[in-house]
This record gives sequence, structure tokens and C-alpha cells, in this order.
Amino acid sequence: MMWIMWTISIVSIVSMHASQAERVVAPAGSVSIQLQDVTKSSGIDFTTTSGDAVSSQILEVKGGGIALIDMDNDGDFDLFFPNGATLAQPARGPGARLYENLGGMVFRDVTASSGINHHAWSFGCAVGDFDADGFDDIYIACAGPDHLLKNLGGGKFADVTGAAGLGHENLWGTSAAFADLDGDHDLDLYVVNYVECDPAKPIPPAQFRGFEVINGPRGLVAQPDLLYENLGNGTFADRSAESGIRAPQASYGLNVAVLDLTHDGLPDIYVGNDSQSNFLFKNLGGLRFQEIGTRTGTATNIDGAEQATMGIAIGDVNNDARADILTTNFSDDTNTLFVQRNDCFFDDRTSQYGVGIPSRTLCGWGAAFVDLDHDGDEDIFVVNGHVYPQATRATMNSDYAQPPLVMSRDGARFFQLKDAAQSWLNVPRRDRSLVIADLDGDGDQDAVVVGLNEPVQVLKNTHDSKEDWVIIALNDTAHPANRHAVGARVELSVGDLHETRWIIGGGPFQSNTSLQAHFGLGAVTPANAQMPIQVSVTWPGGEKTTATVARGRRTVLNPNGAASGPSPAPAPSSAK
Amino acid sequence: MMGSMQVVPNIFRFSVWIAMFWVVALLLGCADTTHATSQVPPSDAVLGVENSLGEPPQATGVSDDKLLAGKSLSDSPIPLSPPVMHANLPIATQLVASGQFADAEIVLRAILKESPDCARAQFLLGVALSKQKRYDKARALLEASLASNQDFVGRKQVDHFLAWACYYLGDLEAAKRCFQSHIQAVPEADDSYYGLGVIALDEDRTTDAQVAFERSMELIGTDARHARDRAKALARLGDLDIRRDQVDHALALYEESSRLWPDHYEVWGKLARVYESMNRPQDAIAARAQQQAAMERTGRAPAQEPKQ
Repeated sequence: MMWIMWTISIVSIVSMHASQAERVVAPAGSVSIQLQDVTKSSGIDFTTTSGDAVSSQILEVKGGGIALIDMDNDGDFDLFFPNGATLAQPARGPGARLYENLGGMVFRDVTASSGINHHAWSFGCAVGDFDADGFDDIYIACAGPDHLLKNLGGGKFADVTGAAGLGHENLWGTSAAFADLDGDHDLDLYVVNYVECDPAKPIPPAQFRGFEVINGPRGLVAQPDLLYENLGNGTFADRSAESGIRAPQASYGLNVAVLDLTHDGLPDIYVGNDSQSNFLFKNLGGLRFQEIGTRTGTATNIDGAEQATMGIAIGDVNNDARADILTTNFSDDTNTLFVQRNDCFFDDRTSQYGVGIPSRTLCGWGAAFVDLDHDGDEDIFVVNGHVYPQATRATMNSDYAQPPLVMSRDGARFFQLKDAAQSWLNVPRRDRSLVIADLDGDGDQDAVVVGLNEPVQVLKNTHDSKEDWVIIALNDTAHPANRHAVGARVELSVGDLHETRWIIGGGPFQSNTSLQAHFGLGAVTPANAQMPIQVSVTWPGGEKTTATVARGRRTVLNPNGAASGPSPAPAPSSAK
Repeated sequence: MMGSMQVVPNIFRFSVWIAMFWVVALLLGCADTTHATSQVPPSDAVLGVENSLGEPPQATGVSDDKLLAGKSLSDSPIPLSPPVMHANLPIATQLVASGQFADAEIVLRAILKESPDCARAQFLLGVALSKQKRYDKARALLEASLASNQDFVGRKQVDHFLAWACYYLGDLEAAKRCFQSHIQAVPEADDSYYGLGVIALDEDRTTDAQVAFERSMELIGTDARHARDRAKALARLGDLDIRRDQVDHALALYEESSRLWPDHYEVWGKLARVYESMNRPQDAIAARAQQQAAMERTGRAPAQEPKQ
């Protein structure tokens, strides 16, 4: 008899909770996250190059990233695309592109006038003012020697790779990040490298589920990462060996995020590796690092399985002011959410937060936590696309071209955003990376997406409230070489809302994260509209600053506690 | 009990019948399921249910129970037609049972070319494709085998495989329906209770997950022949305790799981993580070594990477 009761119980349980998954489909008109594809009107008419239309080599499938850079210090983000090449001409692709932000979500190609003449097969990029001259520079991770583009001001750049002591390596760089790793207040550099790969020597295909597919990275030789110390005189010194980052065996590195994950005031380095354990390099001080990925639970998922980490996003899913990590991974696997405990161990809480199942049929790349609808918590934005042109749902449970995965947070769960009315959300692409920032100065967070031989996609957030957000930009006037304060933590409190953001190096995938902290404040009511908004900044050196800031404003804070503003966000304009 | 039923005209009458027993059970005071003792002997099924990464053990076949049991003319709620037969079905069955899924696929495709309406061949091919992680096609075949309304051997088990295919395709609602249907057809289906538990975990319904896993374990029993299934359920209960921040409980469950089924490489991985979180690095190292050894024993260890 008891089995009958059990049966009924289980059936009842299932029935009662049938609405769980249905919540992912919001009723028409109720979707609070609203973005619009404005590529056509953005002035960005550019298709990236990454090998041939049908990839046959591993070199072709990673695509390139995007750099968010305020190249002219006018308060808005300009865009740099490093761009790739083809197997036929691997050393000379169509070239990188630089777009100036004209305001109003309009950009202008200024590559020619910028002096940028970069044609190497490029992947990731990092942004930082390496020489403390007040202008942000660009580091480009390439197949072959990497490049450093110095921002000369006036919209001009010069390749200073050799003069800066860089470019001596001949590795496949995928991602890079600037951060002050040794505490001397200038920006050091971490470069992630992938595998040995010579375009002149095609790698024979591998077999996967009955298909001849692109080979690697398994079976290929992994390349070691690089750590450069900024010597403070415009040059770098390779400290890879003595820093300790070479202690673990070289791995298939794809991405990096730099922030203080161990709560000791020093920026640590989290490296996403493909098909192998991820690294967490704890900063011991004095430019010495110790790999503690396994010890902290960040190397593998809950089953101790090595994953193919591409994207890395940093957020705080349980509002405990401790950074949590989302990684994106291959199809037939899930994206993974590592939630930090009080003791700095990271539990894999993927299924608890609902992050796993919607990602299982997707191959995830660039990722970001971002409050897209200003409801006071961070949502998830992931771009996707398979690496095998042969991939279909029938053959590999996953199509070659895939739509993005946007997940709206509701309490302690994330729900997949499904909205037929938003075309960008439903169009399958072969995407690889994204950057998120307020590109048009209206306070909400927009997105730019790059894919594999795909047109760049520009997405405007059309959230229309004016007072439900705050953006904090840091200006470390005491340490101008790291004036954006990479490594800082920004906490906001208003009423019952407590949110934390980190100013990180690296990020989504082969791209950089906006060096501004964006907060949604939730619906504005008469009661909360007058509440003071308290912001607390923990600067990279450990100093703290608190300030009261205004709603609906981008505020620039410096270490003295005084807001050098609040400054209004850059006004949209059609042209400068 | 189900076997004593000769005819069930429709689901409604069936439900009413069950509801009557439920009421009686409540009146008799035996609704406390915490201490319920199953009247149903544990299933002999050894399914090889996929792990959380969607990696079915490739070399593991499918138990004869799953492939041969369940001819359901006698208790099907719908009228079924006689099965379409083919002389090579026993060969295909043997290939699937022995884990030779690629070979089975060849034989089954040949059968279906000659007899496209052979529902048992559709079922077996669906199983073979599922075991090769080709869930989309597997799902279509398994659904087709059910839609045929043929009374083929194994029909009762289709929903179980269909559920896992749906699960790995991200369709939790369909997976739930199929597990539920399988349980209705095969009440002793411990592995479908397990599946419902996994889904409940994914939906963060922790109490439901606990109920489902415990029911699965109850059905599995303590017979050493079913240690593997018990180990899997214990590992999931450990996951549940991790979620509840009851690390000590999780540790005990993981340790028991690893003792029951030392080839369960995932539980060694879970154990290693727990040891690390408890600052027991030497135990963690040992667990990872066990994980690696288990992966090698089961053919899941990646080849050694070349070094620069």
C-alpha cells in the first residue's frame, strides 16, 4: 500500500511545482528587461574575422574580444575590436577597429585617424593606463607576440610593444588583465595563454560523436601564462617564473579576472582554463602567488569535474558582500555558479540558483552579472555559440548558432528570460564575447556583442526610469597610475538594499569589464526616494571612503571621501 | 498489486481506486512515510543513469530488466496493438545490454529500414542514442515508440529513458511528466524517483528532493547487488546537505557512497571538495587520487596531456 502513497506524494509534488519552469516565460508585456538591437543606427557596421566561414582549426574558433576604453577622457566608453585573421593570412588580418562614442548610442570608426594599424591575429584585450600619463592604453593578446598600444591622447595611438619590454614571447594569448598586483599602485599585467598552434601546420581533425571535428585542446601542448611587473618607467619585466604562477603545470588558459577573492586586501588572479582545472592564484604580497583553486573549490564543479571555462562573471548572488563567480562552459555541461562562503571556500550552487539547466544545451562564452532592469539585483547575460560547425541539436544536443542566455534574478533563483517580442534574444548567433556598460549615458546598462565572423551587435537598454540607478566611477587621485582603482570594492546601501560591486581586471571573455560600478535601486517610491544612498569604497590599498550620492547620477569618487561631482552622465548627443 | 489488476478502463477510475487506498491508509495511521517499509521488492534494474554532467557510462550496458521487462498489454490504460517484430531484435537487444551502442545503432537502423514501424526497434535505438548522449534524436525515437501504441517488450520502461533525454535537453517539465508516468507504470522504479529527486534539486525544492531520494533508496534496499544505485542516491542526498550548509552530514553521506561504489568517481570529487572546505588537505588529496583511479577504471580519465 505504501508505494501507492509514495506515488501519490511524488505525483503531487511534481504537480504542485509544475509552475517552476513556467516562470521562465513571462506574460506578454511584463518583461522588465528590455533591450533593443540598435546596430544599424549605431554606426558600427563591422563584421569580425576569425578564420574561414567554416572553421577547421582550433585557432579559428575563439573569436576576439572587445575593449571598453574611454580613450579621450570625455566620460563615455569608446570601443576597440582587436579582430582576427584567416589561416590563409594568419599574420595579416583585416585589422583592429576603434570606434569613438559620439553619444546617443552612435559611434564613429576612427581607426584610420587613430594611427592604429594592427593586423595580427588577435583575441583578448586589456585596458589600463600603464604609463600613468592620464590616458588609458590597450594591451592585445595575439596568436604570436602580443602588442601594447599606447594612447597618446587626441585620439592617437602608437604601438610601443618593444619599447615597453613586451612582445618577446611567441604564444597564443587569449585574455589579459591590468591590475596592481604588487601594491605599488601601478598596473601590472597578467596574460592568459592557450595552446601551441602553428597555422602553417594544420592539426588533424578529431572524432566526436561520429563527426570529424576540430581537434583540441585535449592532446595539444598547453602554453604557460605570463605575469609582467610594471616597473613604473613605462616598461615591464617578466616575473612569470618567480611570481609562482608557473608552479602549476601550464594549462589551456582562456580567461582571467583579477580581484580580491580572499579578503586580505590584495588582488588575486582567477584563471579560467579549457577542459582543465581553473586556477586561483592567491596574492601573497611582493608579487608572489600561490595556486589555491582546488583548496578554495574554484577549480572544479561540485563533482570535482574539470570544465571548459570560457566566460567569467563576478557578482554577489546572496548579498553577503563576498564575490561569487559564474563561469560559462561547454555544451552538455552547465555554467557553474561558485558561491563564496564565510571562510573563502566556494560552494558550487549552480542548481540551487537555477543556473544550470538552461545552459546545458548551450556553449557559453562571454558572461556578465548586470542589473539590466534596475530592480536591485544583478541578472546574468551570457553569449553563446558552438565551436563545431557540424553541431546541431540532433547530433550534439546543441546548435552551432545559439541565442544569448539572459537570466533574471528573483531572490535566490535565476530565471531564463524568454520574450518573443525582443528579437535580439531569439536570434541564434555564433557569439563569443560581450561588454556591458552605460554607452549612451542614460544610466542603464547596454551591451556590445561580438561573434565568430558575425557582425558586431549593439544592444541598447531601453529601461526608461531616470531615478532608479547609481553609477560610481572611481578616481584614485592619490595613485593616478591606477586611477580607476582596479581591485576596489564598492558597496551601496539604501534602505534595505545592500549591493556590492567589484572593480576588476579582465572579465567577460577576452574583453574587459566596465571600471564603473552600476547599481539598480529598485522601483522609486515616495518613501524611498528621499532615503540617503550611502556608498562605501574599499580602495585597492585597503583604505575606505564613504559618501552619500544622488540617484540617477554617475558620481565620481576619490579617496578623500568627497565626490568630485555628482556629475551628470554624459548627455546624449548626435555628434561631438 | 498492480499485477492483480486485470483491466483498467481509464485513468480516472484508476485514480479513484488509489485515492480510496490513500484515505484508508490515513485512517489506519500509516501515512507517516518517514518509517514506511516498502512492500515492493527492490528493483533489479541497473540503469546506468547519467551523472550530473550528462555523461552516461559508455561501456555500461542496460540491464535486461530495462530492455525486456514491461510488456504491458495486461495493465495498459489504452488498447495496444500487437508488436511489429523483426528477427534481428534479439541481437540488437544483446548489443544494447552489453553496452555496444554504436554497433546496436547499426543493427537497429537496418531493422527500422526494413520495418519502420517496429516500436521496439525505435525504443532500443532511442536507448542506444541516449547512451551516446544524442538526446534529441533519442527523444524523438522514444516518443515515436510510445506513439505507436504497440505492445512491445520494454514499453513500460520507455518513459524512464525519455525522461532522462528530456532532462539532458533542458526540458524539466517533460522529464518530470515522464518520470511520473514511469512510476505509475512501474511503482518500484527507484531510478525514476531518483530522477525526480534530481529535478527537484535543480528546482531547489529541497524537501521534495529529499523525499524522492529517500524513496528511491527505500526501493533500492540494502542488497549489495544494488550498491551502485544506493551510492548514487546517497551522493545526491549529500549534495542536498551541502545546500543546507550541513557539511558534516554531507561528508558522512559521501563517504558511505564512496564505500558502496568505489567507481563512483564523482563522489570522490565531491568528497575532495568537502575535505578541502574542512581544511583536511591530506584527505582531499587521497580522495582526488581515488577519483582519478575510479575514472581510469571506468575509462573516463582523459589522456595524459603533452607537456611543453
